[in-house]
Amino acid sequence: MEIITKYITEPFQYEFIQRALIASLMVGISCGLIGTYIMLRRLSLIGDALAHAVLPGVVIGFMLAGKSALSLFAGALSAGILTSILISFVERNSKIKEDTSIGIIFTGAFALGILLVSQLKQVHIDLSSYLFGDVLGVSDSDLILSTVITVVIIISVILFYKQLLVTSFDPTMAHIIGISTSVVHYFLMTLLSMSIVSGLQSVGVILIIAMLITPPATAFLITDKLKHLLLLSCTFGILSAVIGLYLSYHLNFASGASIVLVAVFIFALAFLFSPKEGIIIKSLKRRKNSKINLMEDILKEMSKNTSVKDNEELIKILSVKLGIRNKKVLASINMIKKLNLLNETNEKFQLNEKGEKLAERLVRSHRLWETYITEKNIVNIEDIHMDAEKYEHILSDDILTEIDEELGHPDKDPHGSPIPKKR
Amino acid sequence: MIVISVKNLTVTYNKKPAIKGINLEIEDSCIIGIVGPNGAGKSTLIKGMLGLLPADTGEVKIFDKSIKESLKRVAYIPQKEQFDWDFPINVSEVVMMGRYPYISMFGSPNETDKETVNKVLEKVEMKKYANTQIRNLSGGQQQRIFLARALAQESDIYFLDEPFVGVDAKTETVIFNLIKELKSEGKTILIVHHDLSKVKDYFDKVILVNQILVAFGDTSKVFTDELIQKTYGGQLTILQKAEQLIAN
Repeated sequence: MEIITKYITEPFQYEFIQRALIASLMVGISCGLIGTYIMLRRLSLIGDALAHAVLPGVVIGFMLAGKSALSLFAGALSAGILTSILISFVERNSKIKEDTSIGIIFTGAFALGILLVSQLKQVHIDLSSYLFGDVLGVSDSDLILSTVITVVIIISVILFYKQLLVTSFDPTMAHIIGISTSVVHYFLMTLLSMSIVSGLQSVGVILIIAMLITPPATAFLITDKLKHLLLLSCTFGILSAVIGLYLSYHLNFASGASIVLVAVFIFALAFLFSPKEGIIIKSLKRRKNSKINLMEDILKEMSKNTSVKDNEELIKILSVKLGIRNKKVLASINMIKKLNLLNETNEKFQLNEKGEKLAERLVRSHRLWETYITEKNIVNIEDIHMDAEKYEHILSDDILTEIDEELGHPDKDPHGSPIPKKR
Repeated sequence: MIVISVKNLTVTYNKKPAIKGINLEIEDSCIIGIVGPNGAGKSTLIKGMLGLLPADTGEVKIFDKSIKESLKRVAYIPQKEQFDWDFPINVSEVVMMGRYPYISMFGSPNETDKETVNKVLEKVEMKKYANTQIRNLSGGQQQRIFLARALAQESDIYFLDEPFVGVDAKTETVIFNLIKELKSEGKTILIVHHDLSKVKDYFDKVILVNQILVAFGDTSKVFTDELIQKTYGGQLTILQKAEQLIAN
């Protein structure tokens, strides 16, 4: 316990760590908020482009106004806006598509940035800290800058919630009700450039795009409400930044890389285990459903084969009929037993009243569905049995009643077998 | 009263004129079908009328004013394919967008807005889905939501692009009854439509279009075999070929 406490609190005694923590918090919030809109508007590529393109802006800013947080901000912001304008300009005035246009402009801008850094003698710029981030080297003025940026972004997202929502979801509607989509686009590009500046020191230009899209994507796997999405992306952004910072401090990793790896790790967790979208959860659900379906099939067969001599014969018949091994049949019967649908008298499995009722419901469901799809000509007559085998397990009482009414309460299915009435 | 007037409207789409020299005068209290073959420029025509696509030539006036000035009195329901149905938004939030023109720039919805949203959701029989994410609706329900949004906008003119494609019979009835109700309130409804069998039942007037305006008038007079043949027949290929030459 003490070790863990020490692990967490020890870094706090250093002022540069305190600064780094606050910087991580800011990059988590600002990128989480703006990144949500970047993801929803499918602008990830532009996000990446602007991140790279701020480099020449920063260098030119330093050349013109000396090395300061303000010149960094002004340089990066103008480079970001200029780049987004250039990208649309090339796309609109030629047959070059947007992704290609993005590729041309941002690599060009980035190359210019590198050239300027290598040629620049009067101001020394540590290129690697801009490229890969150096969260432990955050200065007070960097901190003030990213705090101001974060506050501006929070206020903008709250104030322009409606405008951002309608232009993201339905730009046509926005146009009709008099909200200019291009004004909102460039406003968002400005905020995007600002959020990139806030992450420049801690994550670096190469990896900042990860902070913009990975936390929102993680949140998107968990919720389908925009407000929750915004809050969760911030949470994941902050978590990644703070945990990444600790790893960076204790294990001496590059800060940008460790922050991004934590973000991707959280994404992977959501991808596998999210209750709604996680692939492991989904496959568990599918397995559970197929078990239930098999159990129901066996229930139905048991209610048909009541005259068997003993359990051994029953299991044999069921295993042949359903084409599965005896062991599986027995497992299903045990499931039926656990659900209290079965009595075992004289060592013979016998469905009880509840079990019989359920079996009858399945038969009703099966035959009603067969009648329905035959009547409506939805499925070829030779395939109706297989179709009903699938649907009998999923049709709800409401739908069955609706089908029954629409068909005028039929007595027999297309094969001439009686359809049990609702009990 | 003339609510929309279109003079000599030409709209280019992908460098080829999609519609050419359209003239229309549309009155209030009217349900109008826009009918023509695939690729005839039906959607382009309404997008041109709404200024969603820039016009090469011509002028559109709505309530005797420029499109920009009167757009807020217009509601538009685009084709369903246009939307990202995974978007994190629920039914009532979509419908609330129809109230945005009534809410100040930084304001949030007030009680009247919320009541209106509830009322229109009831009208399209979708109230119990108010909090449902839009992916989880059927095609017909999705269409009804966008009609509800248009109703919440309380506009005077409604543009619907193929509202009956891929919807169930119930939705078609709900939508059409509401359209008739709008008409009785004096509104004008323009509907892009491709199913010729229902044209006579649905529309007071028909716009037959295939790049050019073939005919416009009362359904009984315009929706004739001869004019339909002219719209769907191949007479226009020469024009299309000529346009292609110009485009190159």
